[in-house]
Amino acid sequence: MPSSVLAGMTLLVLGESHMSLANHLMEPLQANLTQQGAIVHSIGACGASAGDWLITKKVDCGAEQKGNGSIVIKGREATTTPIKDLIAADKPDLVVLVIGDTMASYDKPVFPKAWAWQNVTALAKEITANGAKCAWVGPAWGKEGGMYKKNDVRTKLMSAFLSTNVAPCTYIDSLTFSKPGEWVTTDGQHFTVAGYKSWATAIGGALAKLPADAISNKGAK
Amino acid sequence: MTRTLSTVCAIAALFSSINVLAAEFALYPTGPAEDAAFIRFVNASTVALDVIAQAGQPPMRLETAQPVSLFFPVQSSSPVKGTLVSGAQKLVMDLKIEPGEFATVIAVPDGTGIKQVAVREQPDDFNGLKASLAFFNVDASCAEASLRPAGRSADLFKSVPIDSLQRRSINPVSLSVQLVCANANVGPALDLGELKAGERYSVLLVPSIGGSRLLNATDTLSH
Repeated sequence: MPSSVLAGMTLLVLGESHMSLANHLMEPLQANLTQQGAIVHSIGACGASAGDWLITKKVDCGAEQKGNGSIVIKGREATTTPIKDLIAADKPDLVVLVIGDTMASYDKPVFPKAWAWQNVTALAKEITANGAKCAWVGPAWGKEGGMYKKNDVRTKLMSAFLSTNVAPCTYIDSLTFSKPGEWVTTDGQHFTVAGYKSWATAIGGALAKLPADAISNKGAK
Repeated sequence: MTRTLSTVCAIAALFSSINVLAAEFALYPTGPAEDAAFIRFVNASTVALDVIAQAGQPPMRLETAQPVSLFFPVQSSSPVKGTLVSGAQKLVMDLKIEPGEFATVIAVPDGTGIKQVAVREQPDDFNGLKASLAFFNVDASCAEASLRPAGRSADLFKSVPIDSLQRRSINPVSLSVQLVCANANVGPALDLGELKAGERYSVLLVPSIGGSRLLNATDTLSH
């Protein structure tokens, strides 16, 4: 395997429920990034929106994985941790955020753009202010309906909103990784193991293609 | 803009508004039931303005040298109530702010006192790659209130009606603006400095004894 731009980099990967349960996104993404030579710490918190990573908030479930270790599943003791504290502890070159579905209000008639702007810009600014680069992975196509009422129109809107508002983070557009309905879901929003493996591979590939100055501040001086 | 912690807390408590957005605590919430809403205050008068949420609570004071507050989050489900105090004058404030709305309450000189003007905005131009500039007009003495880049003839904003605003996305560049009333330059150019991508800015046209004047602020949210 040729050397990746991620080799030797320290990555902090944060996400929502996709990153909070076994056989979801955390394990294949952790494996992919670790295989590229990155030092990876992943934390998931079910239902956490961007702003929840500025505070400590109890969530219903979560997970954590470090390096080649096994995933640790958390129940109701799971919380988010302020990003400032996480960056101080891990000193990551790059923070990877998998946040989108928790902020799209799929089941509501109106997209909460002022709230989304408040949350997204606050987290992006906080990461930058604490000296890390960031990459923001947007939502992937799900299946219309289901218990979360995920739908293609709102998914596209959420992705478009993130693409123009996560700066200075780099946006990773998951909608380019598959066609609507291509990745099979279990509930309209969460994917099967195969779907998550495909998503992880695509995210890992997209991160590997980023320019060096989008991965780390080191050497940029 | 620096505010004391107690003042910010008091304002937040006053409006019972700190991010209490309805969330469905199912396994996986997908966003709030309704959008966020915000309020800020501008003191366009010649004396300090106190914004009081409830009697007995410390006011948020807006000095004339620093006349624009942060935007504070509020709940759109209930009215925002308080009192504006300017010298011996007290004005009751009772506003319903809609989801997604950014309300700017301006204390405008009126005779020997002030009047309050609320200008409401439902922005739809959030974009981290551009700067966003708004032009508020609460000055009835300026006909066809317009704003131009200093030294240029093209309008950034043209004939903004009284007690309203216009907003547009612009490239993040260094910018000075010139007020134009009835197609004639009024007052000196206002230097906004180097605008930053992702930031939102306001220029406010307000009346004064000396004539129309411009205030400017960055639209910053309180945390």
